[in-house]
Amino acid sequence: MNADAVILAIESSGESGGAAVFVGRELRAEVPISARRSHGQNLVPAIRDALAQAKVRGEDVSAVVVNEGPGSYTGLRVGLAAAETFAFVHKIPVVGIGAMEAMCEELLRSDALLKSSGALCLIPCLDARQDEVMAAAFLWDGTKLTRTQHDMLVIPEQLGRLAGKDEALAFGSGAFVYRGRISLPVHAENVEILPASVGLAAFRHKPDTFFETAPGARVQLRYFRPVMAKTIVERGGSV
Amino acid sequence: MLILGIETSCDETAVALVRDGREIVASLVSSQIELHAPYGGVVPEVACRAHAEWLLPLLEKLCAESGVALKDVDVIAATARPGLIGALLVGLTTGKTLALALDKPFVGVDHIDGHVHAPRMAHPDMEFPHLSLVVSGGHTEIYRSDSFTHKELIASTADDAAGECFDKVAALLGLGYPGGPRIEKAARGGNPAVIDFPRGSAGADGMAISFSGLKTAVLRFMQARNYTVKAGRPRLEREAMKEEITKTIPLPLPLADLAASFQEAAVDMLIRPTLKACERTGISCVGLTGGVAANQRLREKLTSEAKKRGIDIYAAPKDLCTDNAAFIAGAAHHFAREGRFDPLDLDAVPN
Repeated sequence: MNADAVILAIESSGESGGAAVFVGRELRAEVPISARRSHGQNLVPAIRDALAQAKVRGEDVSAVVVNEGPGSYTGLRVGLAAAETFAFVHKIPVVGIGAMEAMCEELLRSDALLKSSGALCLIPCLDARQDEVMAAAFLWDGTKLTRTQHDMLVIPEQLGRLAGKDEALAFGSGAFVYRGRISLPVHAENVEILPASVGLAAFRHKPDTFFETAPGARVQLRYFRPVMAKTIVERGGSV
Repeated sequence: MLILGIETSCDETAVALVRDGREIVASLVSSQIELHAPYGGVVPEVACRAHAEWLLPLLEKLCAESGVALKDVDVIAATARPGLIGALLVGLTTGKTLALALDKPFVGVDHIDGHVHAPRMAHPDMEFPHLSLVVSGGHTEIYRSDSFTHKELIASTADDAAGECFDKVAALLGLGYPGGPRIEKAARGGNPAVIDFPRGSAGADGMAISFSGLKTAVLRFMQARNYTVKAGRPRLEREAMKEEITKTIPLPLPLADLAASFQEAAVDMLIRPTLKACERTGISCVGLTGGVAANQRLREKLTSEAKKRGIDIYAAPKDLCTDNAAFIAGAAHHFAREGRFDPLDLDAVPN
């Protein structure tokens, strides 16, 4: 990646979110959305403010990174709509990065202790409602992060199966909410993805894709579950 | 002034370029009817996913076909209310991001303002004040407008929307979804006077609108005569209703007469409050708009009944009756002309 390439990172898959701007790999601005679930209202202003704080113009941006899920249906779509539209105007690529990768990055940047730890199995968990969590597993050796389990929907009691022989740590909304039902150590805080982590995760896991991705190539969103097929009338509402 | 309009409030993904509020430079609508038909109605999550997938390619096509570059657009407009929240947010976020990335002003449009504006796009001679009969799958309302950017609710349905009633009756008759065009087709050649379905109460002010009784009347009529519909095809509102019908002894259904009689009742129930509203307000200019306004019988009968009373009906062209982005861009023009732009933190407002 070009040393001074400007990367815009967008996150809106969960309770928080926002936009971040990197120049090269250096974080220049991060504008989190503080109000809960207000992506529809606040994401576009966050993008505007992040660009302004980083002192870059929209046309200077080389690529957009966006969380491709799994996560909240509407939240993911708001983020993708903003990312793809911004990229469409400026004819630049959009790179999708998994929510689990972004969660690990959030944990690593918020918890200094982990930076010096030995081998540790990181288990990011998202609260998928309906008594289930979406989880994955990664091996962290202090410098490298390697995925060991693909994303899967499990009940909290099953989370222990994702861990290998190494010491494990479950974290994220799914671990925090169900901490009483999880046999693994659970991180004390409710780790939520912030926009810079989406960018950092892409730098770690997809460093080569930024300029290999064609402008206009679509990002495929990943949802927790297949579509809930209830019509408006069946839901008792109207349009 | 050239405006880009975006509409994603329900089950149509649409984009359009409109100049000066009336001249449609290009307009594209991607209907999701086929996606929702198997369910017998609009499934919100299916609609939202389709909007997210289709909107940008549609925008790209719009630019390619019209030869208009986005940078030459003066204002970006998107439907902001009312509608399905997840559906609205796809179009609204896309519109706001376009405004940010292109550095253009933004207008968040009320979907109903779009419907109300549709007849004006085809009839520049429409004068203010005028009334609008907005009839669709989600709306059955009469508005008064004193200017391009004004609307005031005069009357609205107490329960089901007219289009919803068409959908439910179409399901009862085994005609499938969407009900409006299918009932209209089935009614061709039918005698609308065969069954005298009740037209409901006009209410104290003469402008009451209620469609839930008509649907029940059709059901009761079918039950009383042991009429049945082909099993499996219709998806009914409630399983109980389905059972009630399939248990009965099959008799051939006088489909054309039934459909025509229902349609006639529905049309009369829309005409009555509209003419009453004209009488009460003293306004003799009415726009007819919304998906149900594409119904030919409604267009003809309302026009002829109104004419007898010296009232002019201005029906929206059929392609501007169902949801589209041209009427969103058209309505936005007048807000933009008054400098009524919206900030980038504008939120979507569901129903």
